[in-house]
Amino acid sequence: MKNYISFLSRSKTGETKIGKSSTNYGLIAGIAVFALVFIFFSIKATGFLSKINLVHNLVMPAAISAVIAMGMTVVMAGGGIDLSVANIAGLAGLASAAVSAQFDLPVPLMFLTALIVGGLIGAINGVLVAYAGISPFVVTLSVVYLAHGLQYLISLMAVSGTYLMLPRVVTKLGTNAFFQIGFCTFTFILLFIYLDRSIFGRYIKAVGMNINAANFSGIPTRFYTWLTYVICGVCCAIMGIMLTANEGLARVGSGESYQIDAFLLPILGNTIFGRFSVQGTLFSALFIYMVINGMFIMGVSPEKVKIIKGGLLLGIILVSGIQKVARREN
Amino acid sequence: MKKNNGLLQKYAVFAILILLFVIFSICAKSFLMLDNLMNLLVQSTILGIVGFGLVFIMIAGEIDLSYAGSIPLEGAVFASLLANGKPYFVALLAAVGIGLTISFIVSQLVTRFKLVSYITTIAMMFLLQGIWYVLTGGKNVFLSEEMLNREFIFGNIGPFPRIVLLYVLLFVLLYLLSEHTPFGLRLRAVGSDPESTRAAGLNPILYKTLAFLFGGVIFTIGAILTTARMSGALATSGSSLLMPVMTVAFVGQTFLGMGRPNIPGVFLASLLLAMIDNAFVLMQLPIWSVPMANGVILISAIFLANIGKNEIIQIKF
Repeated sequence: MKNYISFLSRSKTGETKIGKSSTNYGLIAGIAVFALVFIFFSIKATGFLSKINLVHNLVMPAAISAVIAMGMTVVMAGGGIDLSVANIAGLAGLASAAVSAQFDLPVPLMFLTALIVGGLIGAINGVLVAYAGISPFVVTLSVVYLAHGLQYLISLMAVSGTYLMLPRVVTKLGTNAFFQIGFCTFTFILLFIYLDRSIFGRYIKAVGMNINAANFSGIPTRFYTWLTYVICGVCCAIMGIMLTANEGLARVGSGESYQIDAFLLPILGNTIFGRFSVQGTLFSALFIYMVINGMFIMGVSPEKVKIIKGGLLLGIILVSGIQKVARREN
Repeated sequence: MKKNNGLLQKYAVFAILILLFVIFSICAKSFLMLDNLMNLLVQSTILGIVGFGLVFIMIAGEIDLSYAGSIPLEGAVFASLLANGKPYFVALLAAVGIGLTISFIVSQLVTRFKLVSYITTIAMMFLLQGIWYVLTGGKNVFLSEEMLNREFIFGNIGPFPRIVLLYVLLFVLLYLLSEHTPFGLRLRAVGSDPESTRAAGLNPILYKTLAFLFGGVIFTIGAILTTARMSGALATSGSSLLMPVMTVAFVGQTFLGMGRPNIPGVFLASLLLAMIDNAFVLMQLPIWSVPMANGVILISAIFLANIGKNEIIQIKF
């Protein structure tokens, strides 16, 4: 096992730019901007620096959002895309709540059900993309609607109408910041080891960068592509648990507001860090939620948040497009 | 890379269309009544028109998903202007103007900055949804009959509603444009291989930009029609269109063995989807089963069309 996971090897897979200096200006700029914005809000937004605000209104929502984005990061690192992340999360949360209400399951089994649901849907996505050769775009878009329909089906069949009540333990855990942040950290550590410090992660990144070369190197590309979708599905399920616990009840369509985040954070992380990485995604999550939190305290209305996120995503894509053109011309 | 033009590919989806028609005629009473068939045609109209817009852009080799954001926005602007008493002409111009602006921005981002159109237009869609939310406050804008002059659009000429005739007219025009004119040929050339088209002397940037602008105008027509049909601009008009329009564009590729985005395919595919929607309601199946059916059809159609090709398709960011 030690041969497969190495903590000390700082393999910078994905960062090799032949002929370019290795200083990552994007990273320096990113950290600088983060620090500047933080200082700005500390001064201008009263109450920003309070422990309650920082933990509950900044880090906790960022943690929930980061988990689903980290799942998407793995898929993107493998060269794919998963539009159904938000719906898998909702379905996992709803399904596990319904099943545990129906069969009176203990909380750990409820979590396990969610993980199984997420993993199954991820596996379906993966099979259709990796083995049937259908565009991930089409596959996952269809799964959006299939998952949404399944949510309706479950809510109709479940015991108490559209809103399912959760066991009290879960609701108490859901508003507990340590629980949420703990789950996020746990997922982060696992994914970081997988993607950045193990050979399996390197295979995935190889597939993402150049699938033909990966094939010729003997990497089973179909399997690893499939695997990224399964991992993403499981991450969505974890997020589904976190979200459902946080909201206090299970409903149809929970998680759908996180769809933009699932796109924005990995791509932002890619632009700043130079490659798809869970640390980049986490950094971006903290950054975006810091901006939203600060602006909210300063009185910007919540509707504008979507514009900010959409505009930011567009801007980031533009910047990374310019980077690409500049790199090609070097 | 020749597409496998076996009998299965060529006629599979067409056969499914006919088969489903027969099945629905048997299973759903009143399916075959003239009223219902007319209703079916009307339902397929808006889907088809927006699909024409999308397919036009796909013929040029790009994709534009921002319609899910631009259609509600244009509809809201159109409806608000009409509700405030401005003349038709002004409201129309405003909607078309917005559509053209959005399409122009997207086209430049894709052609000059070489951004990938999937992701860029998804980002644009989010942005537009946000703008819509701020402009409307999340509320629907409703219009009364006089303001809208529905009779003009939905009145009948003969047995057919006018909107259907508009749809057929658009279909014929766009079909001729895309398949039987030099412009259409060049568009398809740019779509299949921009580099060799440039070597051959055409400017792919010009043609892609034109494709986006054209598509944008068609989307705006769809926005105005859907506003007229619902007697107001609805919040869900964008998200409820996202999936079905993509379905008709992709499923339309497989009709008649074309293997590439084409206008007649969209026409037939929108009939197929409208038929399913219609029949499901008649058979009193639950509402959420329609999107699920859409999803299943999309996957099956693409699967059938791609049997034997089997490479993993990747998204480049």
